Amino acid sequence: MSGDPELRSETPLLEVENLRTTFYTDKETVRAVDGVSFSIHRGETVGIVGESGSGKSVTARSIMGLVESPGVVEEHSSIRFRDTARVRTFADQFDQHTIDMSDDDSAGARDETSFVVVEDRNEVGEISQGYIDIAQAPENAVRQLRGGDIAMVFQDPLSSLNPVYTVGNQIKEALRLHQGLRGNDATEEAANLLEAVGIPDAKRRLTEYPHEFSGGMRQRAVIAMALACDPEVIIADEPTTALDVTIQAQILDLLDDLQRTRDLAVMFITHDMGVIAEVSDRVNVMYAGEIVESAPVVELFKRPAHPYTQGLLNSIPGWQDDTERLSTIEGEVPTPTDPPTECRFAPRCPKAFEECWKVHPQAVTLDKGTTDHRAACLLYPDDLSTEQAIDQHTQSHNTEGDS
Amino acid sequence: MLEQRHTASGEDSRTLWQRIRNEPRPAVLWLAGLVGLLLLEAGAIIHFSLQILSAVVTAGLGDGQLSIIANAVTASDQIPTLLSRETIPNQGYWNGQRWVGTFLGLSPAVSWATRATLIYLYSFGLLWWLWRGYRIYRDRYRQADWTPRDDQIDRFANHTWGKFGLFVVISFLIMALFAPALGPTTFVQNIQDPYEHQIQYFNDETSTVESVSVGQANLDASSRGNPDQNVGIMSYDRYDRFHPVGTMPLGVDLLTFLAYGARVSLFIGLSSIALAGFIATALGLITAYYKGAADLITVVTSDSVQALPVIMLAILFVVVFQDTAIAEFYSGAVLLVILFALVYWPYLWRSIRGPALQVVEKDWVDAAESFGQAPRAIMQKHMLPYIVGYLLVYGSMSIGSIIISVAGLSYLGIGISAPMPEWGRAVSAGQPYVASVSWHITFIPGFLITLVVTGLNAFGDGIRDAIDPQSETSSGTEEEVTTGGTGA
Repeated sequence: MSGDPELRSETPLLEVENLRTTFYTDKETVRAVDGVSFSIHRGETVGIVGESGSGKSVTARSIMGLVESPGVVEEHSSIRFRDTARVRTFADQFDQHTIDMSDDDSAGARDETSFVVVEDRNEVGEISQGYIDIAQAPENAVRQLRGGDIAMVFQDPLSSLNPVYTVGNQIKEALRLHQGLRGNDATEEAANLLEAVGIPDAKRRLTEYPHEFSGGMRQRAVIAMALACDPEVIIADEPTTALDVTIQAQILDLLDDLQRTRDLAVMFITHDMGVIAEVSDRVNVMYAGEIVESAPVVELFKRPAHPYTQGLLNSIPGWQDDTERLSTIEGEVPTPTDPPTECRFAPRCPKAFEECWKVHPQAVTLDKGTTDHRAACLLYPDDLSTEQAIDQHTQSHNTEGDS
Repeated sequence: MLEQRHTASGEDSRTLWQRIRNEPRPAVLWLAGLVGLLLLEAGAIIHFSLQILSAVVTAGLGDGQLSIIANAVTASDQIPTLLSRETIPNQGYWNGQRWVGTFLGLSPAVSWATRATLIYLYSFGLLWWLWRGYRIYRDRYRQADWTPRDDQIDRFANHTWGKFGLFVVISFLIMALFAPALGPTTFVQNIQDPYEHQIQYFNDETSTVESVSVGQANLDASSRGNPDQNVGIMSYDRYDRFHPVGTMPLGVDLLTFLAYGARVSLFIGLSSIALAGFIATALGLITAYYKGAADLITVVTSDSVQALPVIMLAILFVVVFQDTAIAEFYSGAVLLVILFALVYWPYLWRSIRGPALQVVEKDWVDAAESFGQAPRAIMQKHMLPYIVGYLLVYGSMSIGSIIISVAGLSYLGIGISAPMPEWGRAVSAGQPYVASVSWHITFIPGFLITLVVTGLNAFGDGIRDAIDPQSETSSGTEEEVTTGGTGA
């Protein structure tokens, strides 16, 4: 919806690569997020869509470093945050955990505790490119990133505000933490923030309790809290699910506005295809811990490739023409407990064939012509015969297994 | 009034001071009343503050250079205080025509009753005035129209059983606080050094006023279960001393004994619960926030502690520490405080563990984490307020069982060493006379223990219902809906 792809910088602000988050319980091992990769640029909105239980929220929490025991972000996952200013401060602060790859002599000496990587320096020796690997960073480092660099907006605006404190108190808490504002300055700034998210009479509203706000107001206040830290990335975890449709539209407009004025990178999680169409630049469809399809928003709606995506779009009321009954996807999302050896969607897939139960599909481009539309389905690439396609999936699976 | 506030709420960044200046009358009136009430007891307040100061200075500097404070303490005795035995004396004698030495020449019984009544009236009056002050603040000066605590306070105010508990607890507190003025005589004179003090009485045979030591008088006023040797409830002994609830086997005034005993019980109960509560809260927050190993270790430790039999442990503790310095403090009360704190924290911790685990799952804890708040601040700001209520409930109930345990230990002759009064020792002393005319010695302290423990439990029930928004109250369903999400 915003940001011209041509103008974007080459390197994304946030890169998630091969993210695996596993929950080890006594009963079973749940691979809630199983090898997810995507990236977000400044000024871009990336949508993550999927049913309940598909791993959307765990992905978000993994990026925030908020996965709680018994959940573990697996070793080879990497979440790279590429904000140069932050990399510079971290390179100073966590000197011992920094690897400098810019000069060739010492390159590659990466030990297990390093999480700050310097890739390039400019003429005067300042760091010009590098990243912080959130998946490897220790808790105290991640805490500094939270809020100030990556902020989160939660699903239920009522329960994400503490009912015993006034809204102002809670916004000021975030302001004090990240901008060191206290007293009247903090009140002033908090009022500005509330105004920025479209709450009239902000000064008075600051002294009110969350229950005195309407649902939409609360979500605005929560967004104001997220903005109080002046983040680069906002992760919005179903921010409009608890709201009615008109308020939803307002909140989406607000997020759009804020993104434009502050050049935010937004990761937008929802199960609502309509909302995704409205806000996203790029969409990732998640199913059972994996991204099954990834495409620019217009392309995805024009040419949904994966049978799951097609099913999702078909189950939107009003999209089918003459059928009397709404078509649905039968069954529910399986809980992924074992490493995949088959297509996890096969049991529900209308187009499943024998090989779907034997080969785990990899994300491939739809055909030779397209570059930014990928689907993890044995039916693709389109321009190969089914046997060739299956071969390609099997091979890439093996090479990945070797690495 | 209401209208005023709504128009004013537009520019509501005014400070409390500005709001008071806008409408000073209620605040000024209330403050004048408070000052008046406090002036009545100025002597006692200054004396008490100076004593604490002197204790602190003594602890800090040693005994030297204390004459100034010591002098000040002595001087403060001269400041008139309404509720003291100097202002309303009850010790006197009947010289054949009239009472000598008592308040306005009234009988010792009436003098004592006047003083005791005034003490209770004054204390409840002061508390009521403070409550009024809170209402004035809440209705007129507070910035917020409503806070979640308001509902809890209102629910408690509608809770009859809880209010009964509060009444009993406050009465008990007053008894402990005003112990020196409440008894017909004092601890030092009647219990600690009876042979150092003399009283005057009128000898009928010689028709003269004579002196006798308190110790000797006590021996003649003992209650030993036979009609010749008994000073029961509301009666005089042969030296014209009035005993509101009779005397003990050695002639000690029972009410004086009970009043000072209340101090000991209260000190032990409150201190050990405060200490145990502190340990429990710290552990509760940490185990709920970090879970895992921290939780497991605490579970195992608390299980082990809870498996120990308290009274056995107490006996062991008292015997082991018998001749050490720690057993000297406050006749052994400090030792018991440490013991009960160590024994009671697992119970309190278990009581708050559930609520703590519940609140840590709330989205606002996640939200605070997501904007980078430190764990310590999250625990204090976003978790603690939800736990305090439960702590009050279980704490007030545990104080009851601690008071019973202390009394039980004294009954067995350990714990608080004589002559320091302790209710359990009175129960034990009167045991041989339960079925005689001297039944009061055991019955009254026993009844008081039961009453106070019941009161503490009732108070705990009241708080529990007050902090639970789902509980049934007269205040309708709409309120329940609006506060349903607080989780408190």
